[in-house]
Amino acid sequence: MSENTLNLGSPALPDKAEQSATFEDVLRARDRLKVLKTRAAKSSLRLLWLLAGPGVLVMLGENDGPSMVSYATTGATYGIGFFAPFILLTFLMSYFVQEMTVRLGVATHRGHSELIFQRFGPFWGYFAMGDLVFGNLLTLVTEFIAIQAGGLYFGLPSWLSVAIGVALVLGSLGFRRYVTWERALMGLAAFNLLFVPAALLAHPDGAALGHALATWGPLPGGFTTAFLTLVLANVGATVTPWMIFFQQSAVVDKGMTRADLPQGRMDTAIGAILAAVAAIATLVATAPLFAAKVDVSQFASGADFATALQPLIGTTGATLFALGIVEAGLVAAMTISTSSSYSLAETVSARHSLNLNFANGRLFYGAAIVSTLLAAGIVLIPGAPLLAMTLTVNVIATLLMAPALLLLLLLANDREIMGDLANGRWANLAGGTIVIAIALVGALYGVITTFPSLLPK
Amino acid sequence: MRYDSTLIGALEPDQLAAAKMRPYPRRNLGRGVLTLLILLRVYVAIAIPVVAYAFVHALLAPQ
Repeated sequence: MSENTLNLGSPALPDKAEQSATFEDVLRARDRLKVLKTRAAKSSLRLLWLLAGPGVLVMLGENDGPSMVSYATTGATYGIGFFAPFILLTFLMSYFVQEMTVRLGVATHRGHSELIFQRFGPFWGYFAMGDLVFGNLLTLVTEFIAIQAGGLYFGLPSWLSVAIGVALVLGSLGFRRYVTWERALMGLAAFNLLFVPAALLAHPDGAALGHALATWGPLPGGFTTAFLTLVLANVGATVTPWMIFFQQSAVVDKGMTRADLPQGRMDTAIGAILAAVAAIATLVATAPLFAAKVDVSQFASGADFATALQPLIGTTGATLFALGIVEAGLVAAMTISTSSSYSLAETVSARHSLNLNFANGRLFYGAAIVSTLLAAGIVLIPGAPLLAMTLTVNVIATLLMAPALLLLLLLANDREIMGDLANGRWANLAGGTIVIAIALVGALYGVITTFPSLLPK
Repeated sequence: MRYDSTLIGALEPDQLAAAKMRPYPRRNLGRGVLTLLILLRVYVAIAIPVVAYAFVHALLAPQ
């Protein structure tokens, strides 16, 4: 700890530590003991395996229902040209943002909400919390829309898909053990890569992909409203407020320390690479729709893409695509509802950990349960404007990102809590550029959504 | 409850749940930072109703 770091006293002096410890601490200590032994044995790969999780989950979690629909719409409208390298750039941006949350987590052992409340006071804290709860609830609705849409492809009625989704999300909370929850979700999140075989079944042209990555082209149609909308949707598909709150809280719940920072960074980088691969694979898988000049503007969900792809990439490819959409919604529903739980409990200084039992974590688990049931209920309202909601949620997430990023930057520069892990010049340059870019992108998104005739269609 | 000290020793002292309940002190926000925070809040306050209007407008538009 650096000399400038705040000293909060020693609430758990060594001789009193075992007296003040809770069962939650014991569970976390068991996980830490494994990490310490593995580090002592100098087993790098196992150490990375033990410490991986928050980064992979946040990145693959953000490859959610609306994000995959955005990538699919992009591929079907523009092919791979400009957007393959652009998606790589957005994930690079996402890495810079999320890496700050890892540093905050290991330096302070506090979640993002509690740091905002404690350092900036309740006025800014409640604003941040309001943004998050509002954004998370809307996003959660779109995840159930994705689950429902994927189910429709397989002939399941909406209520059944949504009910299965709710059961799985709530069931995941039943582990009452952070590490089990994390590993189960990582296993599920691996299915995000189903988009890769779907892309291979589209028989992509490797040379064209290489050319696109090298030249950022071609860009058919030029600079239009549709192009700008997809640029903005793709940005909104990689950086959103829930990711900041989730990863920092998960890093803390996992018990990561300053010594684990290199592995935390690698976890985030691996997550970003896997998510970028899945996103570009979605682009490639739907590119045949662009070649066949299929009009996707009237598509209502990811299931429509799967149906339209069937004659072009075969039943297997289309089925993989639909399964991928279901997985995207499911993993995101689990991570986003947990993000709400962490933040709400941190806000009211209630205990917050996936290591808690239900009795000690009533508010923590209650927040996830209520938000999940509410979101699922909204999806089942007859005649609910689901497509319009999916598109609007992307806009709102992008708009809410700028203030969330500013608070993140302020905390990451707070030397009193960060010590020598505070942002350096380059991190601030990257972070500042991202805040400005996101704010401009959000403003532009709002303007073209409201005044769509400003640019040629 | 008293737990095995070797096991609990695997945690850093400020990782214990009890330690995490002790809040950090409030930080003084400079005028520049406050201005930025307020500007972005105004930006959100203007933008969200605009998006809500666009959402309702799209719903009411003839198909």
